[in-house]
Amino acid sequence: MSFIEKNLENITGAIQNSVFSETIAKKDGFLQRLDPRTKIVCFILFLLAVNLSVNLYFIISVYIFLLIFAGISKISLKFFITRVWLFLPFFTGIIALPAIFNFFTPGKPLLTLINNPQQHFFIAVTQNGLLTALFLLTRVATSVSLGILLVLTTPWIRLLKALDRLHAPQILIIMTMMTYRYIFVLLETVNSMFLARKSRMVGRFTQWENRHLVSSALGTLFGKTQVLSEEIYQAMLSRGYRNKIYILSDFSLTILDFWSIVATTAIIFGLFLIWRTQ
Amino acid sequence: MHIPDGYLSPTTSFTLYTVCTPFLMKASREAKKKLDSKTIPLISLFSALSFLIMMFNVPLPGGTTGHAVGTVISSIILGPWIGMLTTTVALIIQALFFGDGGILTLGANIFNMAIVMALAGYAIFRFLAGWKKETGWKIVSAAVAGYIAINLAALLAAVELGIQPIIFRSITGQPLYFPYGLTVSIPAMMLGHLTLAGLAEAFVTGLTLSWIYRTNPSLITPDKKVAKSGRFFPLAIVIIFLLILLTPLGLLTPGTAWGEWSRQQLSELGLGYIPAGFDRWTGLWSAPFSGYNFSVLGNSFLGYLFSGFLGVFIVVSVVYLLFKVFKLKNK
Amino acid sequence: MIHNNSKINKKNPPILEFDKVGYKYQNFAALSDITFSVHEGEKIVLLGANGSGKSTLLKIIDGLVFADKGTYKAFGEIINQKYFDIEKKSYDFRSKIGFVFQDSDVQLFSSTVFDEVVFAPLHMGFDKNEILQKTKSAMQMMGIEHLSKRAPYRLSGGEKKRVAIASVLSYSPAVWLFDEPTSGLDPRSQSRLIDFIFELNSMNNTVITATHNLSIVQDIADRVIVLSENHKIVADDIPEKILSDSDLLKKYNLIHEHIHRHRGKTHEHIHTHHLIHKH
Repeated sequence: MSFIEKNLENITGAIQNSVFSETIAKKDGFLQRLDPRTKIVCFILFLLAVNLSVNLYFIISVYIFLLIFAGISKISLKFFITRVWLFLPFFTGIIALPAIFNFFTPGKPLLTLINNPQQHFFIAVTQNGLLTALFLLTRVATSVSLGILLVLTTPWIRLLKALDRLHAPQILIIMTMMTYRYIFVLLETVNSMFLARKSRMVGRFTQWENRHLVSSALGTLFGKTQVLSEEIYQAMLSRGYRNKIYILSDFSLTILDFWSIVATTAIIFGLFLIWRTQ
Repeated sequence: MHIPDGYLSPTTSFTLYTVCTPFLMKASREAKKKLDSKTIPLISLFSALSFLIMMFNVPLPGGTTGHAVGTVISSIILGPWIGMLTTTVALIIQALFFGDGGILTLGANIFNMAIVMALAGYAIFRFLAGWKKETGWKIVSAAVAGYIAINLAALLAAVELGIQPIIFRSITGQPLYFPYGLTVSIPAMMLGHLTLAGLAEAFVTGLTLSWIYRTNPSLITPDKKVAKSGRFFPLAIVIIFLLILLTPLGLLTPGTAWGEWSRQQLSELGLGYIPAGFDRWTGLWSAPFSGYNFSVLGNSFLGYLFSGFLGVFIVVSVVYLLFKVFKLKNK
Repeated sequence: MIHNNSKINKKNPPILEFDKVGYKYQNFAALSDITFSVHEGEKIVLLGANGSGKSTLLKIIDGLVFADKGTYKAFGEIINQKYFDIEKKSYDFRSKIGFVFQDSDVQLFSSTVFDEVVFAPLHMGFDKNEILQKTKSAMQMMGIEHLSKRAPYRLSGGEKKRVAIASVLSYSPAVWLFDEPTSGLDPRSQSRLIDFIFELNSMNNTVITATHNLSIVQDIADRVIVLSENHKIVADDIPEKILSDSDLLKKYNLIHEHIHRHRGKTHEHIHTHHLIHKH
């Protein structure tokens, strides 16, 4: 498969993912019921704990808690696990793999692969190496899972509103809102452009055709970009926009939010206490 | 080139967030000034374009993938400050709404791909484009600027990753975050960026600019402003060099104390894994960059704060100077 | 088709007045020497080929771009960039004129249909109860309540148009501008839209529609203004006169003679771009 086609699939995938995550965000689960601000606070607490921790068991325990949270938030565990672990080996896995050997991470050999004393040639999986790789993998997986949990259970506009309430700079909020919206217009344009092209071609794209496709795609995209930008702004002006964004406040902190922050802190401290005595 | 969460220690992430702040504040101010025009939607569209460009992965040797970023073309069209804002927004959306990239590492990614690429790319473009007036030459200049800027960003990412095992190791000595040192991270990162990803950025930058020349030249700043950029270039190079130095310096020098301090804090907070015989270990451990010595904690901490302030001071002066140069030129 | 011109009181001063208006876009003329005025309750179609400046004219009416030459007055005041510096005046003008863009995608930038419809009342500074009440009734009128939480850009073309209209309806402007309202719509959505425009006008709203779709002109106009390809007004009359003047229509590229071959035979006919001709 050519890389263009692969990219096309990724792009379509991104659209579908986004659609899918919004359907999860509308389910009536535990995390969906929390105020997005609470979620952001708890999310950052967990993320910091996971990234500061020097204990592997601690990180793994947090991951297990995330699975529980996913479960009570009506997210399919199969989806939640595969979404992280299906892609992780390709990126972090490849990076972590060499680290398990003695030439990158010296240490006590656990499994000797080649041992040739005459030529001083020795390859082994070391204890330190294995720990290093595991650290990287679990830390990355847990961090990514945290992010996915937040995104899956919060419609993006509520996340944006929460950031606004947490005093993120307004200019960034406005730009993020508009950019997010344009991404979909542009994605759909790219998609239909390539599909239209593909339907007219038989067989695979040649190298030249690929390059040509990308260049004409960029041109068309840019053209679309400009026309859109002017008109969208005019459409906003027409409906009373004066470079100030107003958001209808529908946030309310409940007792559930209070207990969630308490629980997050308790989980983090509790897990530490458990693994400290090991 | 996106560094995900888990690859960098929170210390590095925090430092880079701090470094980003004054740049982004200045960039937001620049954007706010133009709110009365139709710039905001145009900026957002460039962000969306940058987001899309980052989704187009080019296969790299060794099984990984790389991608262009698109910061350089937005800086050429919208100026370096707004240019960095466009990529920043694209990165925020990737990290926050698509769960792609990292949230703790967002500062690092913004620094590499938005701030450095925008400033370096713009400076190089202005310097090269000032030589000749032909459109063809401008396009070549843009492509070259794109190529150099993305490689600079990749180099920075490689340095940020490569210093992790030097600074952050567990008591038993295994790296806690990214496991390979600079000797591995730099060649691994640069191999793909000097070849394919670099070319992709050059291609995107040059091509988009040529397309703009053909269809809407009014978007491009008039030649007058570009002409006398000779004075700007050496300064820009110094600034970029300082920036590159700043990242590892801000971490390496005080990093020993910082890392130690954070672990100490952790045990106070109840986070870290502190074995019973910790005190015995501290004496045994003496890696070059990891003086696990609590007695110097107080002083090193002050030293860190001092260098932190120094770093911020340098960044602020750099921004100020840069701003002055731009202002002078626009008169 | 009955023309109800009696309700338009031409003795009152016109609400919109164009006096020798010219406009340039990136150094190309988009409009030149435009002079006409609009009275309350009129139902006007701006007819012209692509590129004749219809959309630009609508944008000038809506205060989105400003005349380079001549003056444009709305509700007795000259409309220019400066006019919008005063917040109160700006809101006052914006709440009186509503614009339904040709490309619904352009108009729909919020993340949910509800946010889209609530945008205008929210930004025009109504109080909270009024905002919610207006939003609710606009959504009810357009029959889009069930789409409330959906993302606008994932809707069908017809649904998008209804959301776009609801987002204007939520602040009930007195003057409505439609740019190519039927483009990209299926026949059912088209006829719904035409009914809506008719209904709007019967409630004494002023409706100005820019189109090159001749088949809808009679239903949505009691006055037709034709723009030429060099951006001038070339005719201003009742629809019957304009539509029956095929020389005029031909001259300004609204219909064209079409020559092609069918099984070896050359065949010539007038082509209107539209298959459905509805009365």
